[in-house]
Amino acid sequence: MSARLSAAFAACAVGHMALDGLIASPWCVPDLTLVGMILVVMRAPSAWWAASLAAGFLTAAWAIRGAPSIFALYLAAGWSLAAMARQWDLEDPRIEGLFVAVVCAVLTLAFVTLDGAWSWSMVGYLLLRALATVTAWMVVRPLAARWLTS
Amino acid sequence: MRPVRPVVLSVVVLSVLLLEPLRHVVLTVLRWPFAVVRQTAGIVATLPHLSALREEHDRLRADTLQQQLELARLREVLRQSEASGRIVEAHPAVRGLVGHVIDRSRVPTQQTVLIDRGTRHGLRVDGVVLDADGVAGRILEVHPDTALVLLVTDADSRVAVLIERSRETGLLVGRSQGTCAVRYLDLDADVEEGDRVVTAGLGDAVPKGLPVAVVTRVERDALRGTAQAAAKPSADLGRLEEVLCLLD
Repeated sequence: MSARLSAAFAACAVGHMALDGLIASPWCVPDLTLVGMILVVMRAPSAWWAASLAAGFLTAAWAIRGAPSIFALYLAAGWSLAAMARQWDLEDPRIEGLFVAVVCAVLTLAFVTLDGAWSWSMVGYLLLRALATVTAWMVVRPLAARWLTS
Repeated sequence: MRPVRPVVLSVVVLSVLLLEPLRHVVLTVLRWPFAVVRQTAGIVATLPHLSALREEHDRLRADTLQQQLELARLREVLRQSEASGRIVEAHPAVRGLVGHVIDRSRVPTQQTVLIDRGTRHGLRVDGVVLDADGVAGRILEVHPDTALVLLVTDADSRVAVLIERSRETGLLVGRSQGTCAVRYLDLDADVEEGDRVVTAGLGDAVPKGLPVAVVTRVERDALRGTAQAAAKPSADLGRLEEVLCLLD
């Protein structure tokens, strides 16, 4: 993983922390750490493990329940994305956006299931989080592209 | 890269997350960058509101002065009451320690915050944490310089409570959505929207009568013969900054 790609991931993780402090509801905070992980894996599939380890660690460090499962989920997500990135040409940003939405929704669904917090209203929260994350990705992606190609 | 490297690294990271002494170190080390980022973000967010804050500060100072005068008047009433032989039951003195929230869980279903006080400051597991409006949660993990607080909205949170007006008893359970529910109420329980929910004081850790939530909706299930009430936490859990940790 290049130094610039690492810096982009770190900026996403720090941005996640900052937004976490500014936005009252945790459901409205975009998972920028996940966005950073996907940005890295899409551009350097061989570095999936480093990005997944870091993203999984930063998320699971604060977990009070199911830390190993959460960590494993991030590793699995990183590995799956890398496998897909190796198989197909993923230049199209819409594909990357779709990945962000799907992975965020799947991870959130997994958190809800792990915590036994399922209810119909959770569907709304899940979609809200996925939407916030995709919106954040739409802002971050062009910035990251400019930074990585400059 | 050899495939063994990610596996070894995963095991190492997982050990750091799970082994108690290493977890202490992680939380202690991570608190600094998190605290810096959070403080900086807080300062930046505050800048546009400076003039409004100054006005609010002046107004609060005026309120404080007025309350001090009221307190002085009440002390005098109390003194007269004692002098006339009436029994005054004072609440037991509550010792507290102010802490600052330095981070929040990254997993939205797990509603916890990390505070900058720990065993060095006298905190212990199950201690009650309050903000200015009521109970925020209880201490779940305590480390030398930090403590992880389980908020009342977390799905694992359970607090024995009373409806302040009618003295109906129930159990306040978190819903992981920023709200709670008072469960195990009788079907004909005297509960209404807007009722204040306070701690029942069962067990040693939680003093009785602390405000926890306000009832927002009552659901009665005739088939099960029970009722439950949806409740909004009194504490502003989305914007917790300073908290009071109760000490023994």
